[in-house]
Amino acid sequence: MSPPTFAHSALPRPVTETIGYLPFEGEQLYYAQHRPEQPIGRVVLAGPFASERPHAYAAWAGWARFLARRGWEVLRFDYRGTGESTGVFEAMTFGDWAADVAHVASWHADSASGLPVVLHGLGLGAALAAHAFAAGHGQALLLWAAPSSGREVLKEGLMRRLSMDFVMQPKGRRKTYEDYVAQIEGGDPLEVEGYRWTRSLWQGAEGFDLATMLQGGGETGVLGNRPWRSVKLDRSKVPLVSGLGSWQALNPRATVGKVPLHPDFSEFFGAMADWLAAAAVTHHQDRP
Amino acid sequence: MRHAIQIQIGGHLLAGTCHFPDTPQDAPNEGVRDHIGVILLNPGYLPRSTRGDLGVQLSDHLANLGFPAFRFDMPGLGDSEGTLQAEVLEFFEHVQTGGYEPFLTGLRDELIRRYGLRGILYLGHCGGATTAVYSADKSPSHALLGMILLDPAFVWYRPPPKPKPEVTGWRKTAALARLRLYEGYQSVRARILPTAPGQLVSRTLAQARRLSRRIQREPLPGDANVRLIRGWERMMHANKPLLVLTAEPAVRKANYFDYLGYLEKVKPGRIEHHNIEGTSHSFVEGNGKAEVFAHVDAWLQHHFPQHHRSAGATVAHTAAA
Repeated sequence: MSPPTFAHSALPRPVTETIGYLPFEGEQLYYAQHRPEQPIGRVVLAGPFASERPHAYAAWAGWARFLARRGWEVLRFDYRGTGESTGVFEAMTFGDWAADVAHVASWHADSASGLPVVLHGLGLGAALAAHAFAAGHGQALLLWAAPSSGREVLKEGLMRRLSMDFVMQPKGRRKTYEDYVAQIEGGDPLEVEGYRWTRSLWQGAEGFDLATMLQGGGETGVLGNRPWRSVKLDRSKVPLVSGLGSWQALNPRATVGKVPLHPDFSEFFGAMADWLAAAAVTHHQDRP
Repeated sequence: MRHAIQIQIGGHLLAGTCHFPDTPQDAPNEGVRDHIGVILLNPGYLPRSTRGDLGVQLSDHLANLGFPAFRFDMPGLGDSEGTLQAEVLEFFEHVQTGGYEPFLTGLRDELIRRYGLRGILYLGHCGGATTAVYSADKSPSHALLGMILLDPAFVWYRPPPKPKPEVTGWRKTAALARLRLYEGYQSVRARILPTAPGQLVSRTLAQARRLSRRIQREPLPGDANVRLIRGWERMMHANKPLLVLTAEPAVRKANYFDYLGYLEKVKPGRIEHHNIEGTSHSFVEGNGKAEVFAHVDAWLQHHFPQHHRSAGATVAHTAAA
């Protein structure tokens, strides 16, 4: 099969969007697929942590649509026990969610087509996508707001729980970060933003060290002959990770002034899509 | 059992999830015929799962109770087609003026037709509650059997600008005439008031004003969404059960206008209201989820006992089965 052409990838293409469920390990993984006519490649989007998911959703779907208009067939999905997917959150670990990424990547790859597959992760999804990439999935890897380790994702979540306590609990009843860590490590689940964190979730997050998985730190690199890139997001990209923040759910009236709901990321998206296309071309040129 | 579906409403392809009670795998639509369905409506601009996946878990719970549940993303949100407003307040105005009402009404009618449902309940959270009230008021239907509303909003976050009337010649003349009349009234009043008959008239008028205030209802605050509240008032006369769950902290309760108390006077006993303390507006902190589940369960059992599964019934929890 001849390698795909990327010459017209900047032109908008008609796209169909479908949603469905993919069976895996006795559960159903919810997915949304964005399919252009004659795709130039495939992208698997591994989204952020469950509690960030609703706030980041609009921008994440916007990114998927942007890529699809550029000719990429995009698949985004929910991890087991979160969002629309079935399963119980308490029963899940980072290892289970890494397996979800690998399974979806295999399913989306469809080796008969010969199209390149790129993994792209945001927040927690960056750690999970890197894990799948290190295991051999995908021909290129793009990371946004990648945590240095899985534990970092949970630490941020705990900080949000503490800030919520500050608003809702009287001074004498507030717990500290150390109290909560001791509670989880002692085997008593902790409710954080509507999810019950277990000891297995906490302990399982420790093994997702980004530098180890990618065999090196920095912003770009190559694993085997497959390129990867890690992009830190500045404050202007906050809606890509956590929307307007969970504090707003407490009091929507606090939203005064012109808070952007749907910022224009087209310039940033364009640069990222160009990197994806270049990475995929490199891969195809390198193929024997 | 969960199904992902897409339905074309008003020119937009809306993405949704159906949660069905245990039904035959090969004919799930037949399994919910003559059931009472529940349409869940998300708060704000969140996707249909809502914060902490409350929408998903509540839908599973409803399906387990025997009520098929449907969650859809409105246009521009979640996985649905459509354009989203650029700013948050712009979006809220869209919701608060009933922008999503035609889509909810269209969905309601389509779901009843497609699945042969006996009726529908709305379960709206915050802005979702606003959309539910507009739909019930603007497009009443005998198939809409009741509503469950979580922390409904009654005020404008930013009122839509009112068009300023153009000051033309006749408007100026009318304003001047009103001013002269008022000056005349003040002049006569100053002369009559010190006299005995004037005192009597003054006291009588003051008493009449007090009586009038007592008879009339409390005035609404300036930031009230009056159009929405009038919709509530009409809905209160529709003789359909209403469950309202709020998450008001005690401090806020003391300082804010009591809209539910105001509406209660319209039709006493129509609203079943419970305030859940120790949680937030999203009902996911503390005991929020458990309390919502318990109140919804009890309310359904009270109003729709023939459709409510008794505790302990064996049902499939999700499509994983």
